[in-house]
Amino acid sequence: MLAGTVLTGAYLGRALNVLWTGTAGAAPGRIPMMTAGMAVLVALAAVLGPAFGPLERLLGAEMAEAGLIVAVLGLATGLSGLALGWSVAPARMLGPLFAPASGGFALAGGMDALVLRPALAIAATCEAFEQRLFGAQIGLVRAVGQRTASVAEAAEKGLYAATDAVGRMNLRLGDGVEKTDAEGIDRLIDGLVDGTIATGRRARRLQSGLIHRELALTVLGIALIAALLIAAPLYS
Amino acid sequence: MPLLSIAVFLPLLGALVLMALPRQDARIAHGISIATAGLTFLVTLAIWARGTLPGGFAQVEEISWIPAIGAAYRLGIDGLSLPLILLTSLLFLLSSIFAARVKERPAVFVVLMLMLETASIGTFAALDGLLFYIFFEVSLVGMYFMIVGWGYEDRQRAGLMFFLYTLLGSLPLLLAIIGLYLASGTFDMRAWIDAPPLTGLAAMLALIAMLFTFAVKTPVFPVHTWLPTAHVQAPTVGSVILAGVMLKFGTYGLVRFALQMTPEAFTQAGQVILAFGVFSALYGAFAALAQSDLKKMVAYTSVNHMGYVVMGVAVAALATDPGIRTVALNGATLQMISHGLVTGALFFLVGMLQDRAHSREMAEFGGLLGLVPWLGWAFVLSAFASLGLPGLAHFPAEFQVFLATLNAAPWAIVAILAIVVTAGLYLRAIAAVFLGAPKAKWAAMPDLDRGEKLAIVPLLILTILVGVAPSWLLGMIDATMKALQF
Repeated sequence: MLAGTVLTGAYLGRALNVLWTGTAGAAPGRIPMMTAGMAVLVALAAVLGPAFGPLERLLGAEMAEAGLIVAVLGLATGLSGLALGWSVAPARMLGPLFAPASGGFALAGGMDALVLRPALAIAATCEAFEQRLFGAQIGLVRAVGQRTASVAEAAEKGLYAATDAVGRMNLRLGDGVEKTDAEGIDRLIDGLVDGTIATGRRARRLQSGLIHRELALTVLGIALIAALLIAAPLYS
Repeated sequence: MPLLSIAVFLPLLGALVLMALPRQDARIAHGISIATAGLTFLVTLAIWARGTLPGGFAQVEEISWIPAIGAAYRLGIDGLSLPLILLTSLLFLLSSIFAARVKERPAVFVVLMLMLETASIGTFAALDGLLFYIFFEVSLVGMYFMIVGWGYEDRQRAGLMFFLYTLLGSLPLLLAIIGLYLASGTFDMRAWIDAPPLTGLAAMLALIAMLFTFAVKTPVFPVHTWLPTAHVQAPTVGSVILAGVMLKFGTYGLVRFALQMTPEAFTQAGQVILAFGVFSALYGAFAALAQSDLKKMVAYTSVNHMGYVVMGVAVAALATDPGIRTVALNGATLQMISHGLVTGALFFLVGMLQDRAHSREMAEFGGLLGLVPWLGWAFVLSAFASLGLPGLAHFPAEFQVFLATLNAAPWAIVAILAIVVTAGLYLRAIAAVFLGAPKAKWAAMPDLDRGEKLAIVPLLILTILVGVAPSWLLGMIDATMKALQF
């Protein structure tokens, strides 16, 4: 813990040294809300230390007293670190550790190679998969839609053909009926009518006034039948 | 007073009044829209003030509808539906305020929005299976016309895809509802919850049907592909309602129908459902990381966030400890509300940016924080909330989901990696759009106007409030979740 305190003090000492003695560059534009946020943080940093005790009591989470020796030792260690960071150059202070520390003790390519690039690669794979999934779903819907449409169209055509065939059959039936009507029933009726007319004509001949001739023929016929009837036993 | 019916049908009444008016110019249309949505919000606050019951449904309203088949007009609330109703009425009010800038066919736009509000509140309040299905389907119509009528360049295709995808997706639910009816002889959802009528294979088939419907709506991988397209092409208000309200139909249905009405089958399929939730959370985060379109990126984070909700519900089914079940369901429900607030805000902000720049490409921007500080800081806050920063809305929700997951299904904790990816993608977006040197072409970009601030500030305040002190919301949710029997 003491080593950590020394190192923390050292980097803060170094930061303060750079801030006070370094060359000033172009300052970025101020953002008022950031300044306000910083002011709040600075105020809290300044106040929370002394207010730690009352806060502990308020939260009901009082910690064990550190004691005077610990406080003095901690303060002395922190101040030593600050002095070390201010006065000793980092390369000298860290020695052989300076080079890896400059690279953030990056292992196997560091954050970039271990986290960032794999994450972006997974993201790119997901995106490529997403495009294919999207395309596949659209393709599936389109294929199902087109297949359904073509099946429906084929069914429609079949239905049309069937309806057409039924229609044609009906037409043929109609023609047949018409022919039967015209050449069968009508002719029969016509024949009956003609026959009736002819019979009528013949009947009208009976009413021609030549009744005596018709009567003579009838009497002759009756006489002939009577003669045949009388003569018939003679030959039996 | 039947406050629930008033909350459901007040927006529809507003739409009818607007349609009956001889003059329908933009001022009158938006005035009616804001007034109706505002009154509806007040009514939902009154419903909240009346409160819920620790177990079962409160403020039940019931009128006989089709007695021959046991269907009735039944409404009611509990700790699951009430927060969603409050969220719905708030988002519609803020959307009405933001939509006051719509000058193209404003009356039709307002009528559609108010109809959509009726359908949305009705979906969450319905206690009758048939009534639920009707509200659930009617919402599609309003959103379809909103996308097609007021969307962006490829709106026709996106609208059609949204409509067909979700309509086809909802048909299995109808079969499941019919199955539940045939087994019970009623459409009363309370009866289905109190004594689940289906068992064995029938219950599993009904569960599969319901899961398909709600997975499309939520959405869950691999049936999520309609969402980015619809979000990108929808007008800003459409995106806010879609993300903030309509995606919740899916997660609400997952709990109300799938978990509560087929509990045994849900427990049997719990690991599979959990796997889908975990994969959706990870996949959504990585897919969002790959986007260069800001709106599409936010859309994909919805797949990620909804994945956590699915995880929470699945863990609740798998957990044997009642305490862990409650924690998981509390987290899942709070995640629905948080997502509505945070993603609603993000879609508003992306829409505001698009209105100004006519672009959504992150590479087009840079250094906007100094030029439009209100917009910039609001985006930063919402982005931090979306990535799950402690003190903001998503943290208490995701924390509870992960806590329960670690307890009931430790393998699924791998989904926590998605938080890191989400953090990376949002920080990249903030750096690309709002930090760095500002581009000269955006020098004259105006900051948020009064109407825009009015739409966004309540969401930001609630994002912080839910993050810092979620107990006012969790108290209501917790009482219901503790009493859930499955």
